[in-house]
Amino acid sequence: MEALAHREHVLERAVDEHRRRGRRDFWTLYLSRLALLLVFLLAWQVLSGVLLDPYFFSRPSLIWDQVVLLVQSGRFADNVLLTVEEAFFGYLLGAATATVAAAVLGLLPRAYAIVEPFLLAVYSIPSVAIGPLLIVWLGIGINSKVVLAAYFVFFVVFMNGVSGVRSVPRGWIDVARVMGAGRGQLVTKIILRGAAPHLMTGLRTSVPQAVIGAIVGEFISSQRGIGFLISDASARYNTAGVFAAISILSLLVLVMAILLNGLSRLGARRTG
Amino acid sequence: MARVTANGRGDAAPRAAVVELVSVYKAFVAGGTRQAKLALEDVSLSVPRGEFWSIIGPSGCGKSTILNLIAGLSAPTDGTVLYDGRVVRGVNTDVGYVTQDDNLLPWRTLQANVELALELRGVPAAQRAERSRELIGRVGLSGFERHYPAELSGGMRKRASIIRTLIYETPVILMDEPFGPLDAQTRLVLQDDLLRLWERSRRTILFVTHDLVEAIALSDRVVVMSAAPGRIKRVYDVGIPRPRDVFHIHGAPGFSLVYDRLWADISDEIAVSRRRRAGDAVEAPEAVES
Ligand SMILES: Nc1ncnc2c1ncn2[C@@H]1O[C@H](COP(=O)(O)OP(=O)(O)O)[C@@H](O)[C@H]1O
Ligand SMILES: [Mg+2]
Repeated sequence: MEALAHREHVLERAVDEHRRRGRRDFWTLYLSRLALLLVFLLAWQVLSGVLLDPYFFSRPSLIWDQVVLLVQSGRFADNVLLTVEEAFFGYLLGAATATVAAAVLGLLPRAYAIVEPFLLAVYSIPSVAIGPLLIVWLGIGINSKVVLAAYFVFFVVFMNGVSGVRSVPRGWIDVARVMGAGRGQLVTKIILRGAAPHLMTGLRTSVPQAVIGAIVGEFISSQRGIGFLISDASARYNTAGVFAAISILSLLVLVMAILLNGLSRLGARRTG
Repeated sequence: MARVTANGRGDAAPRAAVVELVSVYKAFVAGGTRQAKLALEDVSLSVPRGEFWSIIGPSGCGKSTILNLIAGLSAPTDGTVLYDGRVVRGVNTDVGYVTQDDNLLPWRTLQANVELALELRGVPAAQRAERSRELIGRVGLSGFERHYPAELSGGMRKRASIIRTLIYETPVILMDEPFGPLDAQTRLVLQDDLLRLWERSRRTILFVTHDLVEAIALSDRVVVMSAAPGRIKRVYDVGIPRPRDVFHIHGAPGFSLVYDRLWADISDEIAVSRRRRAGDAVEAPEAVES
C-alpha cells in the first residue's frame, strides 16, 4: 500500500517538474527576445546623432512618431489590410497549386525530368523582371500582386513537396501495395502523408515569401499597401517613414508566423 | 529421418505447390558500376500448400530477393515465378509479407499500423479494432495500442509488423528474418507464438533466417542456399514430429541428426565465402601486375 502511494508520488513529481521546466523555458525564451530587442532599439536611439547621421538612419523615437501618425490618419489599417489581403490570397493560390503539382510530378519521375529545366528557368526569372510583366497583364490592382505573391510561394512549397514525395521510403509503398492498396490509397494514405513533414516545412517557410511577393508588387506600381508606404516615404527622403513601414511589415510577418505555428501545432495534435 | 532431396521439388511431393520457382535467375546492375551481377542462379523451388519452409544461407545470397520475387515486387531476369499455378505478374496481393525492415508508418499508432490492411479493404472501424486488439494482446503488446512506432522498442516493432501481416488472413506468408534483432528469450517466445498461430491455421509460410536452430525448430523443410550468386544447395526434410516444443527442441527426436547435416553444409558455405573474401584481397594486386 505504502509502496503504491510512493510510486504515485514519484510519478506526480515527474509530471510537476516537466510542467515547471516547460513554463520556465517559455518565459526565459520570450524575456530574452524582448531584452535583445530593447538593447537594439536603445543602442540605435543613443548612437543616432553621435555615430549615426539621423538624416540617413533616423531613430526609434522618430519612427514611433511616424507609426502613430499613420495610425491616427487612418492610413495604417487601410494599407496593412490591403497587403495582408494580397499576401493571403497569393499564399492560398501558390500553396494549393504547388501542393497539387508536387504530388503529381513527384509521382511521375519521367514527367518531372521533362519539365524540370523549364521550372528552373521560370524560377530563375528575377521578380523585378516578372513583376512589371504581371502588372501589364493583370493591371495595377490587387490581381497582379496576388499572382506575384503566389509566384514567390509556389517554388518554396513545390520544391519541398517534391523532395517530400521522393523521401517516402520504397518499403512503405511496397508493403502497402502487397497489402492491396489501390493507386488512390497509395497516394493519400502513404505518399502524401509520408511527404507531410517536408510539405509542412514548405508551407511554413513560404509565409514570409507571400508578404515579400505582395510588397514587391506594390513597390513596382501601386497606390496603396505597405510596399507603397515604403516607396512613397523613400521618394520623399523620409527615412523615419521608411523604417516605420518596415517595422509594420516585420510585425506583420511575425504575427503570421505565430498564427501559423499555432495552427500547425493544432493540426499535429489532431492527426498525430 | 532427414531425407535429402536434390532440389525443392521433393521426392514425390503429394500436394500441389502454391509457390513455385522454375530456373529463376536474377541479375542486378549496381548503380555505380554498370556491371550486372547475378544474385540468383538457376533457383528452383516448389512449396506445397500448408507447409512451413525456412530459407537459410549466408548474408547477400539472395534470400530477400527470392521473397521479393514471390511478392511480385520485382520480376525475375530469367525463369518463372508461379503462384497457385499462375505466373506472377505485378504485385502479388495473395501473400502477406513481413519485410526485413519493419516498415511501420511513423505517423500511425501501433493499432492503426496493425489495422492498415483492413482499412485499405474498407473494413468498418469497430470490426478492425476488435481484430487488432485480439492480435495485439496475443503478442503481449496490450497497453501500447496508442503508442507511435518511435515510442516502441525494436522487439515491439517487430511483433507489430508481424501481426499487421497476420491480421488479413492471406494463404501465404513471407517472413524475412522477422526475429533477427531480438534477444534470445524474446525470440524463443515469439517462435513459440508463431508455431501456435501456424498450427491453428496451417497457412503456407516461407521464413528467412540465418539461425540454424530456429529453422529446424519451426520448419517442415529447410532450404540451404550457397554463397552469392545464390543457388539452392539442398532442401532438407526436418521430420521432427509436431506439435513441437521450441524451448526444448534440442531434445526432440531427430534434432541432432538434422542439425549435424545442416551444419556440415552451412560450414562449407561459410568456408567458401571466407576463402573468397580472403582470395579477393590477395588476388587483386596480382591482377594489376599481370
Ligand atoms: N535493388 C538491388 N539493386 C542492386 N543489387 C541488389 C538489389 N537487391 C539486392 N541486390 C544484391 O543482390 C544480392 C542478394 O541480396 P539479398 O537478396 O538482399 O540477400 P540476403 O537477403 O540473402 O542477405 C546482394 O549482392 C545484393 O547486393
Ligand atoms: Mg535479406
